[in-house]
Amino acid sequence: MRLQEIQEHYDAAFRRGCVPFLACEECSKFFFYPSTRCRKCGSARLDKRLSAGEGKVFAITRFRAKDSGEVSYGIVQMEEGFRLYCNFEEFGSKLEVDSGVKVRAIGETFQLLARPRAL
Amino acid sequence: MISGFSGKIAKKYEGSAFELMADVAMDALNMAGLGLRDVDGLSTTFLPGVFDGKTHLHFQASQVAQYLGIRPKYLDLLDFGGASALAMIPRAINAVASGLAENVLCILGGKGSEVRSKGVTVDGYDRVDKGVQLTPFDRYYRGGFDFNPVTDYALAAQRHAKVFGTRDEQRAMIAVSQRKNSVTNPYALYPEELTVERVLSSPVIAEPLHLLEAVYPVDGFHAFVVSKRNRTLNDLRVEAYGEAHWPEMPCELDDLVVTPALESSRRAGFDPRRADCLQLYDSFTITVLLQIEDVGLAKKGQGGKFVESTDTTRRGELPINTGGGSLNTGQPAYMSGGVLLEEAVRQLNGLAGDHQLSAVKSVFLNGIGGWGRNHSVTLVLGV
Repeated sequence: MRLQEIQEHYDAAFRRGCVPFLACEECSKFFFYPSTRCRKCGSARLDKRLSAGEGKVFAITRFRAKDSGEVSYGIVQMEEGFRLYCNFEEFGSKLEVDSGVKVRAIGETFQLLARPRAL
Repeated sequence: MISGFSGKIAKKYEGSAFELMADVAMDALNMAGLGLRDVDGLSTTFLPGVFDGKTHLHFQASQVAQYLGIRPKYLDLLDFGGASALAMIPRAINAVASGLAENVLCILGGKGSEVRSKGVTVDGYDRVDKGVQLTPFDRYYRGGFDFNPVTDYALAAQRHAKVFGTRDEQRAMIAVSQRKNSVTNPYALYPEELTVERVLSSPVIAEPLHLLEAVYPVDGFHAFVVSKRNRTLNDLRVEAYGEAHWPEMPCELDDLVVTPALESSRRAGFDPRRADCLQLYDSFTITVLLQIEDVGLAKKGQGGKFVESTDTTRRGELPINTGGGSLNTGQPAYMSGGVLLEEAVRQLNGLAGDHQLSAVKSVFLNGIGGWGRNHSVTLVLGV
């Protein structure tokens, strides 16, 4: 599979607000950050997939940014088994490690945002 | 081995990085009794923005050689961030031992103030220059722009607290101990003593990390001369060495609470308790705590208890960062390796002044570097 094909899959997924990922058909490794080779076994037999978007907070930090106020940022463990960095929309509910979240992509820069699953 | 060294640090140096670099290089060569014409090897490093705000220097090692008027037989450019300094020394020794060069000038640093003034760190330089790409997949990753060393180590500290119950007070004790070590260091920025309460009452920069748990980026250079003949300093030897480079994004690791120091120190195979003191990379308090575990001073998860029960000040049973580390000198050009190495060389030569330990025969150093804690170098120097 060519990198361009993977990029087209990712772009199309993000435009729909979805989270794409790759699955290695040789070793069953799932990963988010794109490559034309499985980073575990080196295989080029990769399947382009879409995540259900459900996951749990793996780590979270909060800080105050000059331009955007309070920012929540961290890592989500997706139900499919891979992890990704994203921002959190907390809506007043203080997320913690293991809190359930739904991840979606927004905007032209494909910013990944996770919000509490119940919302 | 190391025949001369020098280091200069300033909160803001009013001049060009090239100028400061040349001054530091000359001081190191003067100590070695050498001139620029004697230098036939050069090793250096680079990060975006630290040379007078330039994002990139084309053939940077050549530009350094050109500015200094050196025509080297051996030329190296290391790209391990804060771990580069420690990796330069054994490479330079090998170059000298194999006859590639007689005198290798290792030089590292730059101006952190140039980057700081833009409101970013070197790892956020893509915010001010769109030509900078931090990963092969930035297009799908940099939407949020919030990954930087502060948030990365904050997440590591949070995981450490969650998984092992490590408390903020335990991390703060590292800052307090290092401040005790720095009080007599003339190169330290902060003269006043520190308490756990004061660390924890400083502003939170990213939960759970506080301002006084983080280095302050400053301007500065360090230079070390590795020579075939050494007229001035004690003849040091590399007692153990190991490096490890983990290319994964931290979120792809099994957990955030390990660093490649686990592997580099294992490769070095030297019990750190045998050393007279340790210099551990100290970009943040959590960086030191993670290395305490990864180099084998404490079991994984026990680093907090270790710092509670062990006196790591220079008068204690296991001195760590005997000059106060870069938490107290500032971090030149976003890389602390030169600070660690200078302190080790001073201790091994009896040149540490009022913070000199007695009878230092070996120093255990560990450097961490890279955009996502990717590189670790373990170096044990002995005399």
